[in-house]
Amino acid sequence: MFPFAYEWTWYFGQYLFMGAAGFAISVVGAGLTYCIVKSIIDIMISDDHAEH
Amino acid sequence: MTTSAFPEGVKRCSSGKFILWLLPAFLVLLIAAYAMFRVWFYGLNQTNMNDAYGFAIWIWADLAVIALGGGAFFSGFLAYLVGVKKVKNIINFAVVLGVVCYTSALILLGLDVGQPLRGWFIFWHANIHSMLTEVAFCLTIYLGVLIVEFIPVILENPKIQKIRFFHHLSHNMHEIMAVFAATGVFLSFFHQGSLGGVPGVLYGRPFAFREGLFIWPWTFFLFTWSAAAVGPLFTATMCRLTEFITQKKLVKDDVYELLAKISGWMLLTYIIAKSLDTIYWATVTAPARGFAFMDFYSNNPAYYGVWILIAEIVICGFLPALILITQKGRENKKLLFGAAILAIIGLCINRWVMVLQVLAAPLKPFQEEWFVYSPAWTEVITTIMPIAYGIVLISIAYRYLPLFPQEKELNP
Repeated sequence: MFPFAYEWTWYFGQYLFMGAAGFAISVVGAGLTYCIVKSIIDIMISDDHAEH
Repeated sequence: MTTSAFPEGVKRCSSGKFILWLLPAFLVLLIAAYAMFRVWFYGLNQTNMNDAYGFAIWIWADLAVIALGGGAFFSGFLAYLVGVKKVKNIINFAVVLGVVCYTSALILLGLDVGQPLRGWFIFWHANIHSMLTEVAFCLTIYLGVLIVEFIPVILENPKIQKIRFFHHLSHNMHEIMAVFAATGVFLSFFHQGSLGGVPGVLYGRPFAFREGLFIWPWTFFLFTWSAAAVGPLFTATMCRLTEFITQKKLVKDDVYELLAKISGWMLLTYIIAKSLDTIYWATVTAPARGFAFMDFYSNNPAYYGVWILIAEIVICGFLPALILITQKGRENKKLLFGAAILAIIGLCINRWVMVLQVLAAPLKPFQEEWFVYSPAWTEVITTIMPIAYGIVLISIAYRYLPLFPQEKELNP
């Protein structure tokens, strides 16, 4: 799965497969992170509005 | 009965009645858990698998639920990527159904691996040339995507909505749901396809072997296409069943009709492609390996006769497709759901044929009889398990989450 696992070989097929898997996980992870961070910012903004 | 824990403006049964309804399903889950324990603890001798029949019946259930769960990815594709607004009225239910199907599939795969403690080997020591590795990766990541799609539905529970962070989180997740849906479509295409790609390497089993395009046999595309065609019909049928059980109208008829129309055309194109694939296999692929078409259907006609092929392609393929593409067929709800049930049966037959009937075919010249296989109780109960699990999860989700945006309007 990773270059430090013993069966890893440096060739195109490995890049393609693990690249696609990594891409899918990254998109989902980045999407979730964006939603969580934006929710925190939204709360902070609405708190600021309430104070003013 | 109404409480603040239920979705706004809807009525649900009393807690006692609800628990009573869930009891039989929990009982089945308990027995299934015991059967799984036996298989994991004592080994595969707890099943009726043998040297001829190396797949338990749960593998058929596994492939069937993966295909039927395709309604989640295809409904997501229609709702968020194509922008078909009507589908949004059923998308939450499709996601719950998808979660049920895919968690069941992974549980069954975990059972099939036999040594759950080594389950992580398939990821860590990935053999990227194995289609099953691709299936394991895509299934697992896609289940993650489905859970991500399910989270905002859970967060819409009125009690949870009172917490400001969760209120914002559900709103923000809805905003970028198209990104998650697109990832789900990408992953689904590959794992549905890879399950269908297996016949492309079964050189020693002429009943299954298929040719195709480069490394992809035609079945790669047929599996994806059939899941996309029948998945939404399964979603619609389960929604109708929920309506029948709850005695409430949950979705407007035009939503059913739209799904039926899309699925009908997809089913028709799929079944034409499937027929062409079968004709090519019967006239070119199999004869090239020394087999006539009827060699595969004449040795055990009761179990493996040509009737299976007719049932799959004609009765459960062309017939429902032709009903669903006509407006009169869709407007008559008995016809619509009759056709949907036929299509679902057809899909299950297809996965049965491509997985278990393949194993039954004799491989060696001195073997004449097709193998007959009867599953052990451990296999039967674990195969039924997804149904009980589905009843529990869908019931809880229906009770506490706003699965059907039209429910309040349809049940004033």
